[in-house]
Amino acid sequence: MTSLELHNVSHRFGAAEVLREVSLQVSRGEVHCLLGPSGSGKSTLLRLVAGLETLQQGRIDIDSTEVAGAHHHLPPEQRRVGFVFQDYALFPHLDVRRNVLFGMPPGPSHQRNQAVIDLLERVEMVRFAGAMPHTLSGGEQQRVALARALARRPQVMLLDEPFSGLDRSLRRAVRSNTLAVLKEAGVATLMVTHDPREARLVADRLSVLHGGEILQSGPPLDLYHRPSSLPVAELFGPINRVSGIVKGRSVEVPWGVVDARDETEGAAVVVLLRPEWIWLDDADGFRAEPAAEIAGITADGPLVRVTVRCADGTLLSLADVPRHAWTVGQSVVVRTIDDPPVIRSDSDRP
Amino acid sequence: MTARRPVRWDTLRLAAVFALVGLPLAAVLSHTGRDSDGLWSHLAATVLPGYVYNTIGLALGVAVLTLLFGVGTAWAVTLCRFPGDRLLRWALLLPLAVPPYLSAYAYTDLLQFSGPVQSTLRELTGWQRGGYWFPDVRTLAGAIVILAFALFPYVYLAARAAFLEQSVCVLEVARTLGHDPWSSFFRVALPLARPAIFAGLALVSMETLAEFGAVEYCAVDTFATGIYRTFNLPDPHALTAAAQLSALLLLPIALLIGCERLAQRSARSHPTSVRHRELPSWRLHGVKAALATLLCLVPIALGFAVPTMVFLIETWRGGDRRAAELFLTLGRNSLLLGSLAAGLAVALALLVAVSRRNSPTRFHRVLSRLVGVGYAVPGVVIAIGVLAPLIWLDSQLDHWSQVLTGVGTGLFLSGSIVAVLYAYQVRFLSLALNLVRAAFGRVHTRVDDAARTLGATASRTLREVHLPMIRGSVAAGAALVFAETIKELPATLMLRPFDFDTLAVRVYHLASDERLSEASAGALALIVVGIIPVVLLAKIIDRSRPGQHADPREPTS
Repeated sequence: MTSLELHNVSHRFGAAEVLREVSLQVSRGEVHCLLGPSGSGKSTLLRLVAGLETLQQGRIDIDSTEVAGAHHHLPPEQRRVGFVFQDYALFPHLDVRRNVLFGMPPGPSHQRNQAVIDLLERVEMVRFAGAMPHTLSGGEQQRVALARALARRPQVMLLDEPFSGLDRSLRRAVRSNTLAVLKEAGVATLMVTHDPREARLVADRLSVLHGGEILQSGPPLDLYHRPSSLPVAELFGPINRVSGIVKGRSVEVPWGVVDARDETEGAAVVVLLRPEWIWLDDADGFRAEPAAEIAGITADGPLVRVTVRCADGTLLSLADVPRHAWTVGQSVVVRTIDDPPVIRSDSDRP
Repeated sequence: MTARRPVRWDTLRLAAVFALVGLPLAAVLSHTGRDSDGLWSHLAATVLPGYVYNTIGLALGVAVLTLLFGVGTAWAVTLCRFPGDRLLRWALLLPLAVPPYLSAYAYTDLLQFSGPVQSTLRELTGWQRGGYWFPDVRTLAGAIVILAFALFPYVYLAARAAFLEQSVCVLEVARTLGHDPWSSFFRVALPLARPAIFAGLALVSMETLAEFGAVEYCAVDTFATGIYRTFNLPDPHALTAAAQLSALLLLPIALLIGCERLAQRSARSHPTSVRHRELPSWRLHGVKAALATLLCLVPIALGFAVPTMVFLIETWRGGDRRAAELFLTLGRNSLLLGSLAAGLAVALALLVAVSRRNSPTRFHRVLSRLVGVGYAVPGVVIAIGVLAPLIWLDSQLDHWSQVLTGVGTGLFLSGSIVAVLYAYQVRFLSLALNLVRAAFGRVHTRVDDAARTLGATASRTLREVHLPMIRGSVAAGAALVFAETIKELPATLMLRPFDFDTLAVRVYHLASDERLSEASAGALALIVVGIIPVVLLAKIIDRSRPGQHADPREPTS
């Protein structure tokens, strides 16, 4: 089932190492997102898979056949890979129909023409078949680029920031259409993006690339709830960091204890808490729980952001629905989920 | 960068073109130490000082005049508004259409003792022969004036481009700091444009050193004419001595190339402001407007209108009685040479540009630049350089053919149009190359990537993607080479096969025999062909104003 496999791929431009020991698998029909800041090596990875860059170290298999290895480099035109570029790179001198026809495998011309029409239908661009690319909007160009990339019936589809050139309003519609088309075609899709929200929305699996290395790979929800490092945790939104020491099976925090997960006794750890994983109770003065006090309240859309100062001075930020009773200086009791992610203190530096 | 697969082929191709273009220069240089049986020392003792004096005098005189008119007109049409400025902007390029040798013929005809100007003067004043002074065209001063008004557009182009690139803000700041337009021109605009103007001047000087026809007609002995004359000496060492003179001429040319490169590099200054609004336009009225118009009209008249009128009138009055029949043969020969040279140049330029694109390394970049270096080398020098290796090759061919088949091949290469075409490539390849390279530069490499991932091989990508996208520039490159080839005189004169005349050669011969009225129809044809590059240049410049080309795509029309 696995359609694209990368084994220990490393790459350097001169002295600069852009990829280090990257391995990943993408199955048919699966969308795998590569998430990372610019310069993290994402685009190089795509170019290596496409064969536009010669592999230096490691191995790349498509459909269990090696396309690039130690002594082997299949030129791009012989790999069945589709590539949708960030600026779409439509051929400006060809109309929409002939752009799509360009990649169509040889065959009887009526069959090829019909296949072009079918593809344009799939992306709802048939009525633009005779249009020149520069007369199309960004979203239309993107759909033509997608149809063109599908013309070769690729086994692997590579998308390089495919939605970043679109208006926000347009992006959502184009995104869901694109994904529907790709799922229907049943290709293994590797998509590069620097937008964590987008990655979480479209990915079946995602890999966080940082400084040429994969920090963490998995389904988007896993990465959100179980980040293994601070950079991964911070990608998906603000997060509170509370230091502590593992005692027994738990970590002592200013408002009580949380599960220590698999960390060993005595380890210095950081407990990670997203704002929505914290909530407040009124302090009734009788319970023995350590009290905290509200240090600040800011409106943030439908929610309020509340800053709470624990007894030992630790500041926590949380998001909650506004309650009229809350005032700055009020005593409250902090409650959190029992099992937030816990990482080693020394792993919070990337 | 990473090593891409086709690197070796790209390197081979580039190196082959480089060797082809470099061989004539190497051949010229290789003669420097050779013995010419006293011919060289004889030349050095007798005519060389005159060559040096005249060449330097010519170059300096032309430089000063082109500087004045080139910068003056560029400033006027770029930053002032006066009646006719838009038309003058491109009309100032027209002198490029008239090869200097045609100007020389026209002015000699016009200003000679029996010419219309002096005759009219005598009629009006009653002066007698020898009783008055009249400027003589066929002197060093005459040559300077003729060359200056033929070549000033190079400086005009460079200066205008530089003025256009200057940010309005810089000029406006100068105004707010208390400088009037005049003083802000000298204190700000001119210093900023200096590198570009210098590069234009370097081009003018290269053309001056290379000029053969006009200088020869004006009877001024420069290096170029000296080389030609030495080459034609009935002496077994003539070629060697001519090559030695050529090698000497290569020295100042190398210097000029260096200057031009340096100037070009610093001309790419880093603008402190990226705002490119419509340039300020100082509207001129009355006397000032009239002066500005006059400033532009004079060089256009002297460089284009007057010579063209002379040939028009001469054609009208008599023309070449054998014109019709000769014109067919000559035109056919010129067309043949022009189209072959243009096709070859474009093919070679594509080869170089593609290799350079596939292998984006420093080595390939430098090599692909060196390929274009022949544009600075005078036609006479290239002719000498082409002839030496071809003669050697011919003798080898002849020898082996004699040995193998018993039949000699004679001057198979050096006596055929192969030699002329070879010389044209060395001299004009850069014209096609610059355009093709610039056009390739505007095609984003992602388009290549897209084509390759869509299953196209490198050659299909070139055929179906690159070529259709850059065809406008390819055609422009071909047209430029075509026009320059048709106008080219010295190399054609020296290398053409026996009894193979072109328009330019015929006009030269007729003019040398003082049969100008017969040459006028041919001269007019040459001027018409010369207008092609002028129109192309004007179009290219129109597209290159920063901030004014919103559409980076190659126009498909």
